[in-house]
Amino acid sequence: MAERTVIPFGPQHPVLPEPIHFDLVVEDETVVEAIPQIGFVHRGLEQLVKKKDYSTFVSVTERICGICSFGHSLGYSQTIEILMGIEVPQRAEYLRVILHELSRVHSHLLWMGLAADAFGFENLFMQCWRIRERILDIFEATTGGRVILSACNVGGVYHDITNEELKGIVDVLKGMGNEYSKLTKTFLNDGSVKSRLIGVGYLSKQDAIDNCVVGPFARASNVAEDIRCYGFGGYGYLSAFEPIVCEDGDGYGRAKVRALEVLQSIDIIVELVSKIPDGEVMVKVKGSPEDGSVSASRLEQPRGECFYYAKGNGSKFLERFRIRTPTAQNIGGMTKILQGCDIADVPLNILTIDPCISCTER
Amino acid sequence: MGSFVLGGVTFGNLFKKPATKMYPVVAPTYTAMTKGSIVNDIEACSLCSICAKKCPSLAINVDKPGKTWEIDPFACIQCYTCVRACPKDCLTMLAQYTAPSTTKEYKTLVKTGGDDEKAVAAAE
Amino acid sequence: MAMDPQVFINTTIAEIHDKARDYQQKGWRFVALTGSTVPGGVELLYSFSDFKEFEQLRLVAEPGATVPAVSDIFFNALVFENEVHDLFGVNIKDIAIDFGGKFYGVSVPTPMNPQSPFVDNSFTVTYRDSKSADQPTDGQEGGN
Repeated sequence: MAERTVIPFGPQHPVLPEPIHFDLVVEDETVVEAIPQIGFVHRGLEQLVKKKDYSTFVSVTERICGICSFGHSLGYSQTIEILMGIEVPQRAEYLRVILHELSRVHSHLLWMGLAADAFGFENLFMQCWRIRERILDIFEATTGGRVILSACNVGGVYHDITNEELKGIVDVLKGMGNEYSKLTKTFLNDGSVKSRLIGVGYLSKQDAIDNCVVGPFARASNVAEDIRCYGFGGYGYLSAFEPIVCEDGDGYGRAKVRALEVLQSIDIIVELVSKIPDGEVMVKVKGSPEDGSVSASRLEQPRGECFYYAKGNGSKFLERFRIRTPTAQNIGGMTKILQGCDIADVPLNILTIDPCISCTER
Repeated sequence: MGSFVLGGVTFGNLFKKPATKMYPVVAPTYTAMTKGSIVNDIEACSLCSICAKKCPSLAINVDKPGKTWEIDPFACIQCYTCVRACPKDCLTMLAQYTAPSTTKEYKTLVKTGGDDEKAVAAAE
Repeated sequence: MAMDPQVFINTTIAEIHDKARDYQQKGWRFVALTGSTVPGGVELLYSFSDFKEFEQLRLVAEPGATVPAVSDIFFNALVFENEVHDLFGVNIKDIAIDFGGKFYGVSVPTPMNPQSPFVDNSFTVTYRDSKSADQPTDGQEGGN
């Protein structure tokens, strides 16, 4: 029986990209228990809803996260639309889903690059980010921003993307396909990647259900959970599709799920572009949310299911707005996979769930 | 197996143009939509201060008696709100980003009234 | 356009632990715990989901009341229970990992609860003292 030692890990640590702290209880080189702690970068954005009116607050929600920026503005708008009973034009719903799926593609490519960087595969990292740059160029050409798009607000989207531009997007994505398939081949078949990821951070299906984990983290443990498949919002216009699941449950499974989801997102965009109807993209929103009205909604972000809750008080300012980001939900699962792992695997384990602690601390 | 695929990609890249640009030497390409900085055609402006009230980051100050309109270009978040809200359509979004600066200063425009010359905020 | 079902069920502090266990036995998933201030205390909203189904339980914790934790059933709830304790000052009993108010590093106690004597509610956003821009007010023409 080895002696137990507590090693503090984070919030500032050379290998840790995010401000989270762990107290790692170790026996020799093995972690027996991990106690998480957050709160280092809490910004109190939820309280800002009392200072900004509901149509201005969307610019705050967009800045919660740099990667899933569009997703947060979409989730916010969707929640306020339920709250006020606003019907969004169909074309706007299509455009929202197209932009959201493009965000997913660039988020997953970003993660693949970071993961490659984490195990020292610099070449793969650069290749992933080179492809990701094209998505950012699409964003810049269609909405004007590369990261913060400011494209969505309550009532629809601001700027219409013409059908020619949409065809151009599909051409870029299809042209990307060949290079991307070479990347995934490397990512999923390369010996050095496999030896670093297989068996690292195993989470069984039962543990995934018990800890209520969401997103690619859950789907890699064979939990078929994907809010997109239930057809909420613009996803209702798609033909039925199945969530991508993997039975591995380890870091390699998570990489595989993300790699395949990029292809699935491209398929979704191609299908929507072929179906998109003409029409308005924005309805004029009048009035304020009623006193005491509440609404809750969910959205599948690149990192998993995100929860939004809004409460009106009769004025232009909301009484309460709440975002539960996917990483907050995954913290339980994260401590679970850290138990029993090698201390050298801790940074990689944290990375494989694609954490965004700054999102978690709105 | 996978290394050879990536090896092929890497070898091919040796004979292609680089994906990056030598930024200060080669000018970046902006699209028609790029959100860079806000300019105000001050002579067309009626100083109604709707833009200042709508601005989410409170970057715009309007002084109607003093006939000035000013913007903090480093507080501006390029969200288009003021451009959409402007009743006179005198605000426009330029593709050019704000030039870097060592101090955070407001850019002040003074409405002279009646003159033909148009002051454009892009000039530093 | 289909949207998430809006189901809000009122419940009490005494029942919440049993109801959470019922949801777990039905195979539902814990989604979130939200705190918000209402006139008689802090309202706690527990969200549960099972694929397309989506339900929220609502209860009001009066000042001084002690709410039983559900993190013994859904382990991940500990994140939100510590958050509600630190930011709103709700007493929660038997959290799976109780940080005792150290989960968030807050500079004043219970910053999100306006009943807290430490919170200055008169605070308004101003960038400049002399020429501060007007705050948006209730009477303004709204929308986009």
